[in-house]
Amino acid sequence: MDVKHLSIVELHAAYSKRELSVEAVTSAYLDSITKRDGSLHAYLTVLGEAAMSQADVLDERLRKGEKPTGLFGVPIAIKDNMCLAGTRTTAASKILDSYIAPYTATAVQKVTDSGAVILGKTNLDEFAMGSSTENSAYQQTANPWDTTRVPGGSSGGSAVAVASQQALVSLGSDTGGSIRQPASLCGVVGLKPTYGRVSRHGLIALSSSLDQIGPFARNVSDAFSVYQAIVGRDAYDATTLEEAAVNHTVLAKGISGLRIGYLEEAMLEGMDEEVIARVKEALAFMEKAGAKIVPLTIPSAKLSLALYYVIVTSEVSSNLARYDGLRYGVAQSPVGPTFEKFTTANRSHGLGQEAQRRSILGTYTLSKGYAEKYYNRSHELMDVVAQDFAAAFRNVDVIFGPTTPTVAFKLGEKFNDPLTMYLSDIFTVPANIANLPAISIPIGFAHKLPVGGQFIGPRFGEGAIFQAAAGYEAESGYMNLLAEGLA
Amino acid sequence: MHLSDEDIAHLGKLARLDLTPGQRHTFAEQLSDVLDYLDQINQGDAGQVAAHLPRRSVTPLDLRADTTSPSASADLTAQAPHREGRLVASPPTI
Repeated sequence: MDVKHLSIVELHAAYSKRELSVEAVTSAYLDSITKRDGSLHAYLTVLGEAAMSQADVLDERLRKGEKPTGLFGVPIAIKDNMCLAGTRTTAASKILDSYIAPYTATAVQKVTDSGAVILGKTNLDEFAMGSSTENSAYQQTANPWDTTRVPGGSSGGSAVAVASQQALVSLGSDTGGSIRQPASLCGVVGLKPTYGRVSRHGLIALSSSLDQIGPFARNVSDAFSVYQAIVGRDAYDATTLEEAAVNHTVLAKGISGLRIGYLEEAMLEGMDEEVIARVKEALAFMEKAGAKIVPLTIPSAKLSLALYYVIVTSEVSSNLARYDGLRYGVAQSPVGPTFEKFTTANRSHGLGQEAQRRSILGTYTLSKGYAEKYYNRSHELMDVVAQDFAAAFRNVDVIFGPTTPTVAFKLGEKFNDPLTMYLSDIFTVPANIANLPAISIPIGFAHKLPVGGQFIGPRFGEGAIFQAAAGYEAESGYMNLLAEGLA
Repeated sequence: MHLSDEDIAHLGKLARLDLTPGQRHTFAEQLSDVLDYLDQINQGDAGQVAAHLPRRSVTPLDLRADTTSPSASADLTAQAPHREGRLVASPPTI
């Protein structure tokens, strides 16, 4: 038996019967990293020694009769924009090359408290800016289904770690699709919770109005377990809310009787025909399984991508202003002669192209005379989009559509064309703009590559999307996918 | 919206980024395209809707109690490249 094929529920059963030790499972995943990450480059830092020590502690608890619950003995990978005390935390930027986090992010602390074993920190687009993980200052992560293609981004390392069995589950962050888009391109499950569900304390900020931490997993049930471990009000993040928890029984409810909305705007000109075919097949499949398919139209949703890039670039220019080589970040330049020249030299050397491009655009959209036209107006229009989605949810339980317009694209294909790269997030950003939870799950293949479908739920309606996703997964059998050669 | 190389140089100065002439030119072309795309929020129906929107209300945050707790400042300053006692030494830049 390959222990890497086991789900969290199956692992816990084996731990309870003492058929497996946490040490054996952790060791199997660390071996997998040694074997596979040389070609896939999912990890920036592997914490093998600390993981084995943690496994020892957990095995001792098992020997004392503890019953495994939560994330007990679950090997997990963490996106490298979340702080873990005493470890290097770079956000894949040269400017944080030597930063050792002095504290642990709340979400990371929660998975640790729940018993997870942290295997390492994963690669991302610098400061989570990107859709391909090509913007990392350190390495290019490859898609395990075709290593000449991108894994998506910005949480590409966390998606690949799970898709290639180098971790059972992982944490990513999603500002405009950075969990769901790579989940879709790598054939795994990825969830963005409602903004306010999960604390951002210790998450290196990209866009503070939109950033949200969430899980990757190879099936919906495992994603649910991670979600349950990380949610809740946190005194260190005033934007978190104490909302009613989601009961795990939603996973067994099935999709029969669900009202599933389908956005007519979701079929774009120029979209991959095979992706459209898989989405239509999934809708037909759900209808046959007893769901009611309801056509919807939300015209304001098409503004989401433009609103997203105004808000993100504006907040990037503010959040990245602190990296000057004095307060934060590596000082590369020789001393002086003036504060301005010193910090300008450090920032120009330490920040990558996309970080610089977005800082420039954000400086423009926040500048005198333009802030009203761009940033302030975007926040106002966000409310309009949110209201239109809320009205739609009076008639449906969830909304289903494609996660991405295409399958994984070739490395370098969109790297020098930022607008085209930004358009790859066109289906994921509305959930961020309207502040809704959304989950991407595998729904089939196109061109021998995974295709993802996305369920969007009402605000704090994670229960509905978990029900729909688990129901579809159980009926369709698209779960625990593994690329040829990795099985 | 067209941004010139000079506009980008000025924005670079504000953002404390020293851009090469090549970067200025590339960013000017790329960001002009992006701004054209972003301008849809000020056009057509969106422009009309936005013009009649009420001002966004600000909801008071549920702030935590203003109490003191152990500080991580010693751990934070430990990462400074140069220290003198309790003080962080910075390069002379004035």
